[in-house]
Amino acid sequence: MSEIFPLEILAKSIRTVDLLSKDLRRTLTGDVLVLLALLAKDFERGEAVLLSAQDSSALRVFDELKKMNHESLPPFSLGTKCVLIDLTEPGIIADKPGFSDVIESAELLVTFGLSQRGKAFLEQLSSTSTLSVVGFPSCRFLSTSGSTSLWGLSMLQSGPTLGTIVSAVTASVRSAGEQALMNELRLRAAQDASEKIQQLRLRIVQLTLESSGLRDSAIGSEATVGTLQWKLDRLNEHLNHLDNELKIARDTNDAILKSRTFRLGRMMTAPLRAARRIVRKLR
Amino acid sequence: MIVPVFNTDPDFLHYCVASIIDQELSEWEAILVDDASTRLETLNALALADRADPRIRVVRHEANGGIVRASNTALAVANGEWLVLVDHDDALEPSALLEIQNAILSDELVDYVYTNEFHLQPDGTTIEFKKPDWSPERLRSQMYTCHISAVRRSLSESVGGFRDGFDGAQDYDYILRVTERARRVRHIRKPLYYWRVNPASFSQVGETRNQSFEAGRRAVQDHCDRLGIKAHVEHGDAGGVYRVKRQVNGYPRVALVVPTRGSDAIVWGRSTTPIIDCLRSVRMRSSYQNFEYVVVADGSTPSTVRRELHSLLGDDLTWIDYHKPFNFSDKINLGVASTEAEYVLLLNDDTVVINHDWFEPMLALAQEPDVGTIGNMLLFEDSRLQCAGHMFIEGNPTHVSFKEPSDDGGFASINFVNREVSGNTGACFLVRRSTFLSVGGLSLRFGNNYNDVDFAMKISRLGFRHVWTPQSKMFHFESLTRDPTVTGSELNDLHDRWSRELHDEKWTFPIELDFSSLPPRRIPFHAKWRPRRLGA
Repeated sequence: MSEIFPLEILAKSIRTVDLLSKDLRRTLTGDVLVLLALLAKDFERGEAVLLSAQDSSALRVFDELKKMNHESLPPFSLGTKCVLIDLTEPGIIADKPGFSDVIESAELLVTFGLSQRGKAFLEQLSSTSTLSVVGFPSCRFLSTSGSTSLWGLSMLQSGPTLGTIVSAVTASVRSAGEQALMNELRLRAAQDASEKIQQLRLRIVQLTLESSGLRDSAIGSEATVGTLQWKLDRLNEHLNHLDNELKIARDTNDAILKSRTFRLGRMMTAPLRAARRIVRKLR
Repeated sequence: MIVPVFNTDPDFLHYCVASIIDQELSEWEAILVDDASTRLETLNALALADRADPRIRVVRHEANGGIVRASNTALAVANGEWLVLVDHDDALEPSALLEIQNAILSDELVDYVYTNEFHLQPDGTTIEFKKPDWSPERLRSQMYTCHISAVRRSLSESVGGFRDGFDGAQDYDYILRVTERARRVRHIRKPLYYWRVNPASFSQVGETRNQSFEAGRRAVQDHCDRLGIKAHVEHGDAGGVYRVKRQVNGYPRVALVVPTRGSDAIVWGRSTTPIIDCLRSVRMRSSYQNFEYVVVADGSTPSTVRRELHSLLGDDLTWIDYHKPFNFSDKINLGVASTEAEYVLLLNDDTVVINHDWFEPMLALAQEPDVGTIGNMLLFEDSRLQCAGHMFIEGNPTHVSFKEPSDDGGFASINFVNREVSGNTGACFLVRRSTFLSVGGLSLRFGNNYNDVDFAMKISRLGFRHVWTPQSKMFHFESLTRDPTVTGSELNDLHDRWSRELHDEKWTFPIELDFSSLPPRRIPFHAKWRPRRLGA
């Protein structure tokens, strides 16, 4: 688990805690650091605590926090994805201006303390929202009496106690919040990729079918040409055969006409044909 | 011509020798090897033959050595460039050698020639054994080339002639080895040989049948081993028929593409939903299970069908909604385009698996690189054959063995053997997805009928062969779930494309299997064939 270092005041209202081990540095994102930073924002004195991982994400958060007037930070606003809520007095938190907007845009809800009202609030929230919730009801005992905040300066100053909270939050965030966040991101990426893959698949199917149609048409045309050529060859063959037959018939006819028998017959029937002509004329 | 002789009926030998002498081609020699015959009439007939023509030579063995030795003796003394195998009790058509010579001269790469033949019955009638063009798959299941077989001498020598230990199937073993090395095999589609169906013939004698069949089985097993075909060869469902049980390489993903509209039908007297029966039978009965079930469903398909199939098939189901007017080809193409499986099985929804190991034989054949489609045995509801592959008759495609009994091998046992066919029915065939796509899938021009015939033609153009196997059996309640009407325009369209190919009857099989209904056909009478005193 993470190693807790003593608090170090970097600025008037900013404290840093380098609680991140090398392992965590690899996995925690800027959003989570914002979450952890703002976890400490709710201090009665309005101090913000930056949990520095000494990496680029943390430095970005650090810079942003420095630029921000911590008084303008709502007690529940935690970066872009994660929301921290003290459910010891949920009514108070829920009444804050902009709360519903923040909840709507949130994907991870981290809660501390759990009163009866807080429980009812969570139930109501869970019935209307789909965001993931990571709860730390047992943290309630750390609350200072009479304070609406979970973490008072006194708690901060008692290093080990704060360390315990931060450890718990860090561990849980890593094991649940971070995991949920990462899963969410992965899921979204997967969904995006899946949609893209699906679109690509549909496109591939469409192109495959179009390509198939073209191929079939090309092969069909080629086959039709082959068939027509074949039919043409057959017709030519038949034509040649008929030509040959005709030639044979002509030759036979010529041979008959030239034959002595035919000529003799023609001579013998000449008077008869002449008589027929005369009869035809007389009629 | 190579003619081993042993105690042959002298009349039969007379016919045989006379048919050789009567050849229209004059350049031949005939080697008659007498394997120490003891029958006096046979010896007399041989003596007559020896004197009948100088082109006939009779060689005698001092002791009987069997048909293999006799055949090898003939091979050794023959001088011709080609060797023609003739049985001692058969006869040749007068044009036989001339036709073979023409075939050889028309293609110098031809190393082996075979022809159709007549089966000459004892009563003198004949039946023509129409053979397919070169069909290696069938030769692995059955010695179908038989007579006449003519082999280039150089090739015969390179394979070492006939092998000892294969008596009774020596020619089968020899031709298997010849065709393994032949550059080209040529089939002459004319009956040029009379094979005598003689109860006393060697191949018909009961006590030697089993030895012959076993020799044939070993010959095929050796052949598979030599070619690297991983298979176990078994005796088939008829004598002289072999079942080559190939092994599947790996465990590839196969997509079953099944178009449906999810309608109900009456099968075996009960109302059922065929698509569910079909896929349930595949899921529950198949020993092979790496399937993706791609169902292309019309918009009218009841949602209950989808739910039931989803609960049956889970993630293996890919459901595709099809909202266009019915077009079988389009639905299949969409299904194939939507999967990435290596193989696709086109399957009608009105089919049901019969044998649990139906798929492995198809897949193993599909893994051969030159095989295009593989079809299987489809049976009607009453177990008659619905389809045993496609063939063309006078330019029209038709099913082989249509409505014939499935437990009957048919003429030459064609229903019991793996064999090449013109194509396979779209009701069920397996094809590589890449091959399917390479020819543009099924043509949308044939939305209802003949898309499978057209597809087979396209595949054939690429040099693939189509194989049918009886080792895979299914019921096919044909056209139970779609309109079976065939329109004339579809046939015209088919002829527009493939008229030439449709008239090329490469894979013909006898249609009529009931011989009693055939008019008796007498053997053509050749005056010169009459038994006579040869040389007199």
